[in-house]
Amino acid sequence: MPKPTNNEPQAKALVVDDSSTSRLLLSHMLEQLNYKVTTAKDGQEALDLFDPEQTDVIFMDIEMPVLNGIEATRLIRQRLSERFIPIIFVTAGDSTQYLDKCLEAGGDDFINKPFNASILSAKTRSLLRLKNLYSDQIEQKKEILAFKAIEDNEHEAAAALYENIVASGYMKSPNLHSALSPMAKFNGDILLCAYTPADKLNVLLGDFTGHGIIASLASSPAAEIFYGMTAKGFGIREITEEINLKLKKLLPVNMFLAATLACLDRENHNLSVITCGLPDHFLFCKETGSIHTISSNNLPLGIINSCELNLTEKHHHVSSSQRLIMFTDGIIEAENKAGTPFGFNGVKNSLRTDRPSCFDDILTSLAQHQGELGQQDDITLVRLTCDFSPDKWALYQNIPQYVELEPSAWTTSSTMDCSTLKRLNPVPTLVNSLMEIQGLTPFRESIFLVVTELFVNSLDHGLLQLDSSLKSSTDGFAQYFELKQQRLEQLSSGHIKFIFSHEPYRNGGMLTIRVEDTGRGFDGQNLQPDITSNQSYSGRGIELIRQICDSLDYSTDGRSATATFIWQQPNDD
Amino acid sequence: MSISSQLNNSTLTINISGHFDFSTHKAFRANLDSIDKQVKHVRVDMRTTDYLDSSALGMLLLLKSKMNDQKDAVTLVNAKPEVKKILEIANFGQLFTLS
Repeated sequence: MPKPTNNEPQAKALVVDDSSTSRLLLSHMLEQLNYKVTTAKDGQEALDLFDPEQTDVIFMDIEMPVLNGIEATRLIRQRLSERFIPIIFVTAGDSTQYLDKCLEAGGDDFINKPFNASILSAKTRSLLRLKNLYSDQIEQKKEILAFKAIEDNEHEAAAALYENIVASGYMKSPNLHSALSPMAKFNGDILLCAYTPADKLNVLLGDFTGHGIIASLASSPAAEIFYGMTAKGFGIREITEEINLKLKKLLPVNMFLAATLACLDRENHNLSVITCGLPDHFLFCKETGSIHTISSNNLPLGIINSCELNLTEKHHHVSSSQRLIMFTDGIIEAENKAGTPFGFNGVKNSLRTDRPSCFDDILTSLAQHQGELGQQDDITLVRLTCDFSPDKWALYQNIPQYVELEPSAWTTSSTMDCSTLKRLNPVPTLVNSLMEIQGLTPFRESIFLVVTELFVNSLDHGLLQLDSSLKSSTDGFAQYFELKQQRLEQLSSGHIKFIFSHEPYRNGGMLTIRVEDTGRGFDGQNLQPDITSNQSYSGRGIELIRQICDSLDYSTDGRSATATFIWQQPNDD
Repeated sequence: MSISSQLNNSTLTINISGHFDFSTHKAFRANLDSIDKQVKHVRVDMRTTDYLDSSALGMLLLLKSKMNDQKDAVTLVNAKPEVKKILEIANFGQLFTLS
């Protein structure tokens, strides 16, 4: 007779029968099979004695006084709820009429009197195997449920964290329209936007590999860098490099951020874009219907070191009828019933002229494409409207904290040689130091603009000898920037010197900004004291400086420019 | 999805069939772990790869890192146009030899 091997724990049986002979006989046979046996003389006693932890199989007689086997089985099943303990009904020749009821009450098998040892052994073994299988499954189900609870919890925490990171410092822009579904956020999509002190609009759209908590954690430093550097006036190239550097240090090898950084420059009507691994974007003209595809031409961020990154930045001369349409892969991968993805064509075909909103049109045709499937819900769509009308920009009000410092007299100067100029834009750093020396924070934007304009003029027209008239056409605009990049790389000598001096003046102070370069200067015709003749040369830039500053003078054949900025103590109210 | 690999001299060829995405992670990791010093070059054959997602791109980065970030050490071959498009969007040509 097969017996459970010794290293198996001893199985436990409960025998319920009103006939003491039957109880004895069955107990004896089970003990032979190495069972530990408990007996009960009727259904009620069985319920009283029954301990789910101490029972592996139950043998149940049908007809018994006090509580019969069928009722007892029903009650035991109720008590067990999800757990499974096999119940074998003990039947005699006359009990076949009860079989259905036995099964219905929760019986699993039958064994006939008189007992046959081999059949008993086979049945108990097979039912025990079933019981073990069942309890393993229950265990697994519990584990899965526990895991899911943790996951749900993390999901919620991640979503909340994400919301805070992305929302903190998030500045709404009337030029930026976006739809980010909660699922897309959880999948690591991120959208940030902020204005620089020179009134440029910086936008970052990103898509992290990985989900939830990981993406949320990684998006935090990215957002901090983006907001921090934008507020200080850094360009998107520097911001991209800095985010890349941080993510390279932070992220595991197999994770990265696919992103696009865009900068809308109101003054030059320029849209600069650095694309790093997101699907194609479209620059759509509402009037002509033309669609210009902007493809990713850089690696995603966080993979290689910033010095190897060698970012390509593209410049587009844009008009108010143009919109930059960006999205992450959720939209193009959204499938219809037949499994066909929405695709780039899905987006492109929704772009029509004479329609009020291309943004709504894309979402509408996406919804139509998905049909009943709908709500796959991993959708991130962004529209950046290149609208330069003043009302779209006036909303931005920087209210800086003002540190009151007594106006004092000081001079500071910095010289940037050509290798420095190749590497960085010195303006944010210089302007920040002015803020610290004199607490000129309320005038930060104005000073930033003036220093930027003077610097760009010195670099572009002085050192790099670029001709502004190139910028008059759309193609010329991109050419201008390419030429600038090229000449900057080739630049082998020269420097630009900044001299800032400040003295108390009336109820405030006077800041003098002098920028000198070692270039060839402006050509004679345009270098007259009458600055208006320089209009064509530097376009809006010079005009802006004149509006902001109290004076602007060129000297030494156009190789140095001096602007003075007079400020008053802000009123205390 | 299925992954198989053969070692021929010092070149390990990894074949990836079907969707190359997060579900492939475990099998791909197992292949990575089997790479020893003897392997000088890895060919990832994408002849039968239908789709790549960003976690697959991440796995390729792991492979590159395993091969000490040598650009020539990992070649991605036979990618279908739709798979190639994904590799191109990510500009992975800068990191791997695509052919």
